[in-house]
Amino acid sequence: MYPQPIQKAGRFANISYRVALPISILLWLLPLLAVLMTSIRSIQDINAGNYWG
Amino acid sequence: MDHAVKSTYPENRRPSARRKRVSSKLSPWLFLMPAMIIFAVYVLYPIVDSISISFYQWDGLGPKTWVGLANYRELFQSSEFYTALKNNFLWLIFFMLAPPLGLAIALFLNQQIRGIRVVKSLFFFPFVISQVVVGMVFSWFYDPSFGLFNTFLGWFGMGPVAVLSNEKYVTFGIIVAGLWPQISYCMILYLTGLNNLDPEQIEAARLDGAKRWRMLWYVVLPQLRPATFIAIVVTVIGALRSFDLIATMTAGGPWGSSTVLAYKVYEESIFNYRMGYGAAIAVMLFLIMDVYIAYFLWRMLRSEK
Repeated sequence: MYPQPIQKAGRFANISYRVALPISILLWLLPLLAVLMTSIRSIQDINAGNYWG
Repeated sequence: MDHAVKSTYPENRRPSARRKRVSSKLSPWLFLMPAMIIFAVYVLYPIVDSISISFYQWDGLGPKTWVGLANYRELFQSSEFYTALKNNFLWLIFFMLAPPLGLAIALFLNQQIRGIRVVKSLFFFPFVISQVVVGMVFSWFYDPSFGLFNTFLGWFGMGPVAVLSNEKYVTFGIIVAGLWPQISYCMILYLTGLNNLDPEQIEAARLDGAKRWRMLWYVVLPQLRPATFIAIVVTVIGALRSFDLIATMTAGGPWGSSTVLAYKVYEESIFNYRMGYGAAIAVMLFLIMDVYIAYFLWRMLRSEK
């Protein structure tokens, strides 16, 4: 298998990988999440300019 | 075998040697015939017809008027054509980031841990959704008043940038939107390739002390050559065919600065009723694509030999 299974790597690499995975999904789907957020907010909130409500 | 033939055909009706020879020569053509007819009607005829229309002035409804090479002359004198051509080349160059980025993500995700299949599916998600939806999503993402992109810029003290209204940035903004699903596609190609690596070669390389970049460059990438070839071909064709994102995000604007040849064909033929001029642009795009198609066919024929 290539790359080498993460289980065989050190504890630090293992934990880093498991933390990096959800962060990378979040970044990858960010445009979709942004649209989702816009879709559930009222027009007044959007026009107020504060993205995170 | 001989017994079977004898039992199937009575003595006086057994097929002659000549008939057998004709039948064996004819059969492949008969099997190929439906595909060849469909190919001729839906591919060859439209190509020949488009080339023919490009020599006429035609609104798509009335009679055609022969104008010879006038459409091509007008095309080569039009600055819009060169803008579209330049944008097509920008698409071509920056779209080539998709295979290496797809490989990087595939290497990152090629692990066997709990839930990794769900993660791979989520990474593949942008390719599954329609290009029109991708266009809409990125239009909102870039929106200068409430888009997330400008919110990020604000965090770093940068003012809002209207990406899709700025002549300098618009093409790059659309290319980034196009790269999103394209990277997903390349990632899947490479994940499939990584699953088919020869484990003996990998182990042998490990025993010989190959690690990281050396292992990737000298052992893994050569084995991923078929996946790389398909990824590059699909990416090149995708870049030259770019249309949906431009149509949904900017309609070629502002002031035609983000237009590409495929969108120009649509604009001239459908909006301006200039079928001949639109066909002339289509022929130019076809000629550019031919270079890649010829290379692709040459590679395929060479590998078959």
